[in-house]
Amino acid sequence: MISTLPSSTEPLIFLRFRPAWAYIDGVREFCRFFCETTYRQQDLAERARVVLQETLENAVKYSTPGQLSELELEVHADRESFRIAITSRPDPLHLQTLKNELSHLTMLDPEAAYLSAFVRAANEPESPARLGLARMRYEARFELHLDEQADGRVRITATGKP
Amino acid sequence: MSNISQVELPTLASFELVITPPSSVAMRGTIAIPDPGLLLGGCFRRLHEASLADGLRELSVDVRQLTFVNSSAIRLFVDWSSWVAVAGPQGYLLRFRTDRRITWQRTSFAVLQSLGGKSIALDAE
Repeated sequence: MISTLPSSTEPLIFLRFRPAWAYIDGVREFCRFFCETTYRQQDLAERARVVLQETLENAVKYSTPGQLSELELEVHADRESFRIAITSRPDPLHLQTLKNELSHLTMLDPEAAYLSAFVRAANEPESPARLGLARMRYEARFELHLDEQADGRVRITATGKP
Repeated sequence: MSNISQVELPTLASFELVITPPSSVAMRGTIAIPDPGLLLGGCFRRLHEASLADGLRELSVDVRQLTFVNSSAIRLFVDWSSWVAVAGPQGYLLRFRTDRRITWQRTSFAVLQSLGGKSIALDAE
C-alpha cells in the first residue's frame, strides 16, 4: 500500500545515465518492477511504465549531444502523489516545441487532448506521431510540468495519484 | 493463394506477427523501438492492401498479447485505421481483438474506434 510510505524529500529511485536508447527498456522495466513489487499495485506499475517510456524517449531523442549530456531520473512517492521526474539538456528548438505542446495540451481535458492528438496524427501521416504527452495524461493519468533550470537543463515532472 | 498469406513478415526481436489466412492477424510481444514505422509500417500497409485485394469484408487483428508499445507504435494503428476509413464501403471492417486488462489497449483502441467510425470494430475481452 502506497499510503504506508513515510513522507520524504529524497527520491525512492535516482538514476543518472547517458541519453542512450539502449538504456530505456532496462530503466523502464526496473521501475515497473519496483512499483509492482513495492506497492503491489499493477495499475500504478503499468501507468508508471507508460510515463517512463514516453519521458525517457523524448529526453533521449532531443538531448543535446556532448560530454555534458546526461539524464537524471527521480521517482518520488508519498501518500498523496507519485512523481516521476526526468532532467535533461534538450536542444533549444525542441524545448520550444515541448513548451508549445504542453501549453496546448493543458487547454483540453486528457481524453479530448488524446483524441485531438490522434486526429492530428491521422491528418499528418508524414509527421512524427506526437502522441506521447497526451498519452501520459490520458492513459497514465499523470499531469505534466516543465521547469527550466538555471544551468540550462529542463526537468519534466509527471505527477499522478497513487 | 491469397494476397494476405504472401505478406512478408517483419523481423523484430521483441515482436511477432502471425498471419492466419484468409482474414486473421495476431501480434505478440512489445514494440518500443525508436521508429517502428520504418520497420513495421510497410508491413501494416501491405496487410491493408492485401486485405483490399483479397476482397475481405473483415480483417481480425488480435493484439491481446501485444503487451506494451510506445506512442510511435500506436501511430501505426492510427495510420491503419485511417487507410480503412478512406477505403470506405469498398474496404473492409478492421476488427481489433483487445484485452481490456492491458492499459494501453483499453485506452488507445477506444479512441481509435471513435476516430474510425464504422470501419473499426472492437472485441474487448
